[in-house]
Amino acid sequence: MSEVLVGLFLVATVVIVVFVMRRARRPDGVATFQRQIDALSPEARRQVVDEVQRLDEEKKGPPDAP
Amino acid sequence: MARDLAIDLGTANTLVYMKGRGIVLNEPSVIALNKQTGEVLATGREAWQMIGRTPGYIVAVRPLRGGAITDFEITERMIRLLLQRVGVSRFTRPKVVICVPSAITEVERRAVTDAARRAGAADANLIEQPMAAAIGADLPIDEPVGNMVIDIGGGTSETAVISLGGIVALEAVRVGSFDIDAAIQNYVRREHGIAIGERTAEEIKVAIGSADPTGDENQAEVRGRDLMTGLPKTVLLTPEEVRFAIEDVISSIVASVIRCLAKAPPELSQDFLVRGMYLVGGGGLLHGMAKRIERETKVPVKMSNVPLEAVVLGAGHVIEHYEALKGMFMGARR
Repeated sequence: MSEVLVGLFLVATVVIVVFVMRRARRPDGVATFQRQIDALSPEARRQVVDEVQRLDEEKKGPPDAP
Repeated sequence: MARDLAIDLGTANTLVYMKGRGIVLNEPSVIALNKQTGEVLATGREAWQMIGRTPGYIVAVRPLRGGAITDFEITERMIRLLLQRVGVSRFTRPKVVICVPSAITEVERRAVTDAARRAGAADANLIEQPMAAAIGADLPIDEPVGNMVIDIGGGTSETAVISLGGIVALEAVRVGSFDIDAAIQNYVRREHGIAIGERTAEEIKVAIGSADPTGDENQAEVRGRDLMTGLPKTVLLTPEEVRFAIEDVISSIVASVIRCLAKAPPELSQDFLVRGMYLVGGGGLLHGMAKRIERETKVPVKMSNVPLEAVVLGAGHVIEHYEALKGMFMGARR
């Protein structure tokens, strides 16, 4: 009888832990939106800007020799 | 472990951006096949050079038209070969973000993702071309201001108003640079009685084509096959003639830009007068295109520094910040 109770207790604990963890992991709308906006900011886009500059310079070619 | 990829699967060209490396491939979206065996003979630039010049048993085709897959199997093979060229193998399956026209249907959307998955991608997500173009053109789309981008591609022309990382208004037409080439082909056939190929029409467009009169206008010699005699023939074509030939296509693109402007909320509308609209895509390189749109809309038009690469650079940025930006994928927010 006591084994059954311990078993039930363990199952209930696991269910509660999983439920709490899933709730904690659910993305918060504000945080997700803020993360998206931050990822689109000029600072985050530095790599793309550098790539644009590199391509632009490549197209223009090397500067004329004096 | 494969590096994740961003692909601009365009009607005219396919560009691939590799995470952490930048643009690693830029080739025409063309594949050459042996008609009898089904074997792939060439892809990209090599296949493009074969268009209209192949013997009977070889066919050089563009598997995408109007931004949509017209031949699923050939597209899948083309994507597979392109992925192989950038180092994707059976054991290295990268995450892939693919830029597609915003107006594609659910069926076309599934066709693109299925083709990418079957070609070796572990996961394939789609992003709208104008959104990627706005990121690649370095517009401040993270701010609450109106950013307008006009993307004139090979098979589609899309105009979008973007603010706070999302599309506010959108207008797309399945008309692009290839329709300009086709209009030139038809005009030369009808008015001069000679048949010219797809590539010759494109050369005419680049040499003397314009959407609005430009200062420097020269005639061009056009060589083709006389429809009556079957013999090679040369005719002279003027820039006015080319403008007349392509007028319907240009008008339809400009009309879609005007429709998008009309859809924009007034608060964002006033921003365009100050900030202007940004033109990207190969079609935007047509002489006088920016001037023509500016004349008809009374809104300044600026050309992006990287009109041909803006879309793939934008998608590349998304792949670099995959977790933060996955909400921008098509279907993710609907």
